[in-house]
Amino acid sequence: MFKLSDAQLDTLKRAFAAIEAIKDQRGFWNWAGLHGTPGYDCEHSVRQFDSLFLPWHRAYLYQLELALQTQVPGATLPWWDWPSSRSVGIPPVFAPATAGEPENPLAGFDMPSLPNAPEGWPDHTSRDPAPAAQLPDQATVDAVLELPHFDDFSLQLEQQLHNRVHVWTGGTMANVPTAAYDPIFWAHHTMVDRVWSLWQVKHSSPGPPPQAWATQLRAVNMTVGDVLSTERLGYDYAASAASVGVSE
Amino acid sequence: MRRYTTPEPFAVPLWDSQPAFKRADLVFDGVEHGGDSFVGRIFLAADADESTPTTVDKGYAGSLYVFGHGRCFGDPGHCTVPSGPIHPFDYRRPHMLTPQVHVVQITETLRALNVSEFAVTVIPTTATGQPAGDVLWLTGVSLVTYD
Repeated sequence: MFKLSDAQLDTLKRAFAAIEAIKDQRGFWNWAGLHGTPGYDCEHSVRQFDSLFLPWHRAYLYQLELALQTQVPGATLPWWDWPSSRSVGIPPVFAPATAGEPENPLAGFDMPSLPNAPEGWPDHTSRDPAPAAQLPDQATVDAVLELPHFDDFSLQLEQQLHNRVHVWTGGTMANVPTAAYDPIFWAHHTMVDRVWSLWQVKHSSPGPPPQAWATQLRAVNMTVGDVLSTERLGYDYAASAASVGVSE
Repeated sequence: MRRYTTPEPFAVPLWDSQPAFKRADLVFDGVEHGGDSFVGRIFLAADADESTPTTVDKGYAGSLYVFGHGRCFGDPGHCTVPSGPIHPFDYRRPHMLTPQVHVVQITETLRALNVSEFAVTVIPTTATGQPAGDVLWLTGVSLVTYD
């Protein structure tokens, strides 16, 4: 997130702007609505040994990234590295545009109106972040990565890191029914997915037990087994990034 | 509720007066998440309140982070958790508001306090540390240790 090149950021913004403008099922509103209102298809652990939180959200990210790439080839979801944000809070690329600049499609989204117009349904996404230093630090992330058993790792990642950042961000992101309508949700969950990917490499294990692999993930038309490998889904997480200029 | 304290203290597993565990968890059962999101500050002390510093010497052991639903965006019955499967062949996933289990590791604080028993107090706050109100609902707390 903090190392995106200007070209990568431009591609990302154009892709988000494109799907935010689409009003049919290819549009951002539809993808966001699968997570909470009105779909409620997301998986969050209710028991201590659930295994579907990480697979479901990986499939969800995969589908959204394909929707972005269908509109703007080359668009990829960046991760929000929480420890790197402890000095700045919300990453600047998600900030509203200043006067005279074009609108930033990563800053927010006009919420779709719902048929039953529920009381309290917001018109636009909002954020109310807590102090930046309350975001998870690297030591906390590393401690979760050390946990050897997948169910334990998954639950701690969900509750002590994922939940914490949702609550920290505040506003629309702090409620399950509305969270995915905020574009920053997708960078947050890409970080969650990255931590799972790092855990898979560190522990030489896919994570969920084999008996879970055939489980169908709601609304995303994939099974747990389909999403165990990021390579099979055509993406990976860079260990580092560097660029040099090219003289003509 | 606005504050929860365990009705009886937990006994700390000891061996030769030393902590006899490699890891200690508090397991919170039946945590409801239909209301506003909140941070539940966990103190291994009966007398903690909103003003208690979140430091180990005061018994602070970590926090619950409850990602809530805020309110019900549905028609009547949408957010009512069924009491169970409607028949033996009901394989659907649990209702979205089925109460959750939260697990918080308290190993370091419990070792540092060096006590033989302790109470647990949970203080719900907003992300910025303000009182969160009547948001904390759970059915029980267990101490689980591993050696």
